Amino acid sequence: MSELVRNIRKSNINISKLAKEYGILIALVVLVILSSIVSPVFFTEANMLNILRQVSINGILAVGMTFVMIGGGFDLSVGSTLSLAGVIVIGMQRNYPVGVAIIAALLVGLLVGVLNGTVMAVIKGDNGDAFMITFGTQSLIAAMALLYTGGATLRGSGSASFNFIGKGFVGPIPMPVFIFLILVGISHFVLTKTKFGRGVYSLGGNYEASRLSGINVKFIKAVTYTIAGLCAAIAAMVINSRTMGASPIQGVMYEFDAITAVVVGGTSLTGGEGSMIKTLIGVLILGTISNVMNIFGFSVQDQYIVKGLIILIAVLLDTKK
Amino acid sequence: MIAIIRKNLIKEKMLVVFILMFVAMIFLSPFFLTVDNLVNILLQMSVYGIIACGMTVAIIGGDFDLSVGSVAALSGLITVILDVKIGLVPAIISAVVIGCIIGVVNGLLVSFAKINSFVVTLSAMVIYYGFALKVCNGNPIQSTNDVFSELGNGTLLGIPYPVYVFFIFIIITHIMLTKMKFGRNIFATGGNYDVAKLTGIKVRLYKASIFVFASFAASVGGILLAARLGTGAPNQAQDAAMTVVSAVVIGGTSLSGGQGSVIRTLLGLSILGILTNGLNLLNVYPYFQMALKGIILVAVVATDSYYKKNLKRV
Repeated sequence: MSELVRNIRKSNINISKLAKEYGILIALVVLVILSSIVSPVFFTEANMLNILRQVSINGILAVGMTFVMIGGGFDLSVGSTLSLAGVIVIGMQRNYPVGVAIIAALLVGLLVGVLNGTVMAVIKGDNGDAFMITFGTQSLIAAMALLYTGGATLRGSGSASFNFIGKGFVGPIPMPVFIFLILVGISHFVLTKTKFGRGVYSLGGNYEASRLSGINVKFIKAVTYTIAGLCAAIAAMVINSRTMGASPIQGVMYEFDAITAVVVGGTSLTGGEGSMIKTLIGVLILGTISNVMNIFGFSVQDQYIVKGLIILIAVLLDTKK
Repeated sequence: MIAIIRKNLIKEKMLVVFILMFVAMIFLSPFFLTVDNLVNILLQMSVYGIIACGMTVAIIGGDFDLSVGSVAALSGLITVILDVKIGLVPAIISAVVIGCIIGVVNGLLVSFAKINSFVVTLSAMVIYYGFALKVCNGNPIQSTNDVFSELGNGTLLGIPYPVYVFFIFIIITHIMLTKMKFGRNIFATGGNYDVAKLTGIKVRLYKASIFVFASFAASVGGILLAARLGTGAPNQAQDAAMTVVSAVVIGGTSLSGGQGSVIRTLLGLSILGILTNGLNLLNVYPYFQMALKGIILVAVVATDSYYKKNLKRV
C-alpha cells in the first residue's frame, strides 16, 4: 500500500513539472481546440496554411532572436536589417542576376550581425548595453536603407525564380513556411545537440563562469548576433519575393514582434534558458490569435490591445512558475 | 592638479563633447549663435525633454518605460477630444490623470506582480497605442482651440511656453531626486533592490512610483506636443521612448540604475539637440543625420561600457 502511495507521489511531481515545461504548448492546443469549436472556418487546410504563411516572416526573425536572447542579449536592429537586405535584393536585380542579388543581401544581413556581434563581444556588454547598441545600429542601418533608395520604394523584380521564394510551394507547403520550419529544425538541432548551442545557454546563464570554464564567450556572443542578422536577411527574401517591391522602411518595429514571440514562448529575457520549440509555439500562438481575431472581425485597434494583453498574460504565467 | 583635471575630463567626457560641439558649430555656421536659433533648439528639445525627466527617474530607479510614447500620444488625443466637450482645463486635467493611472497600472505590474519592466511597458506601449487608435478611429483630430495653440506656440518674453514647462520640470525633478527622501530612496532602490529592501525602504512602493512619474511626464509632454502641432494623433511620439533613453544614456546615466541625474539628461538632450540643429543648419541630408545619430549612440554606449568594465581605475 505504501509502495503504491510512494509511486503516485512520484508521478505527481512529474506531472506538475511537465505542466510547467509544456504549459505554453497546452495553452496553444487549448486555443486551437476552442477556436475550432467556435468557428467552422478555423480548422480548414486553407486557414491553417494561411496562419503558417503569415507567421513565417516573424517566425524566421524570431529564430535568430532566440539565439541572441538565450545568449543573454537583445537585438533591436533586425527590423532595419530586414529593410536593408530587402532593398538590396530588389535593387540589385536591375543590374545583376537573381543569384548575385540574393547572395549580396544575405551577406549584408550577415555583416550587420557581425557588426553588432563584434561590438557586443568586445565591450562585454550586458543586456542593457545590447539594448542601446542595437538601437544605435538600428538607426544606422535604417539610414543606409533609406540612402540606398533615396527614400523611395523600389519596384520590383519580375524574376520568376526569385518570386518562387515567396510564392512557390514545396508539395502542399508554401515556400515561406518551408523555409521557416527548416530554420527551426536546424536551429533546434544546433541549440540542443552541438557544443556551440550549449555554449550559448551557458553564456546566457552566467557569462563570467562560462568564460572562466574556457568557453569562447566572445566568439559565441558575436555568432548569435550574426545569426540574427542572417535570419533578418532571409526573412527579407521571403517578404520581397511576395511583394515584388521593396520599401526602405518595411521592417520598422518588426524586432518587437520577434521579441514578443520569443517571450510569449517562454524564453527568459535574462538569458540562459529557452528553446527554439518554445519560440515556435510562441509564434504559433500569436499567429493563431491574430487569425482568430481576423475571423471574428476584430478591428485593428482592438487587435493591438489584445496583443498587448497576451504578452502580459504569457509572461505573468511564466513568472508564476 | 593636472591629474585632477584629467580625471574629471574623462569622467565628464560628455560635457567636453558638448562644449566642443557648441564651439564647432559657432565656427561652422553663422546662424548658429543667434537668439532665434538657440531659442529654436530649446523649443525642439522641450517636449521630449519633459518626457526625458520622467524616464531619468525611471532609469535611476532601475527600470525603464517603453510606453511613454504611446501615453504621450494618447494624452494629446484625449485633450483635443475632451476640449470641445468639457473645456480645455478639465480636458488637460483628465488627460494627465489618465496618464497617471496608466503609470499606476504599469507600476503595480512591475512592482507587485513582478513582471519584467521591459515586457510590461512593451505591452503597455502596444495596448495604449490601440486605445489611441480607438478613441480617434484611426484619424488625427484637429484642435480648433486658439488658447491651446497659443500654449504650444506662444511666447512669454521671447521664450516659448513649452520651454518654461520643460525647465520647471527639470527643476522639480532635480529637487525631487537630490533634496527629498523620495529621491534618495529611488536611488537606493535602483542601485541595489535587495539591499535597499533590507534597510527597510518600501522598495515595492518606490519601484511602482517611478512609473507613475514617467507616465505623468509623458502625459504633459504629449499634451504640449499636441498643442504645438494643433492636432492629436495616435502615432505622435512613437520614437519618444528610444530617443529619450538615448538622451539619458548619452548624458551619462547608467541603465543599470542607482546613479545619474536629470542634469546629465539635460546634457544628453542638449547634445542631441545641438547635433540635430547643427546638421540641419549645415544642410546635411536627413538620412545621414540618422546614420550619424546611430553611430554616436553606439560609440557613447560602447566606450562607456568598456570603461566601466575594463578600466577600473577611472
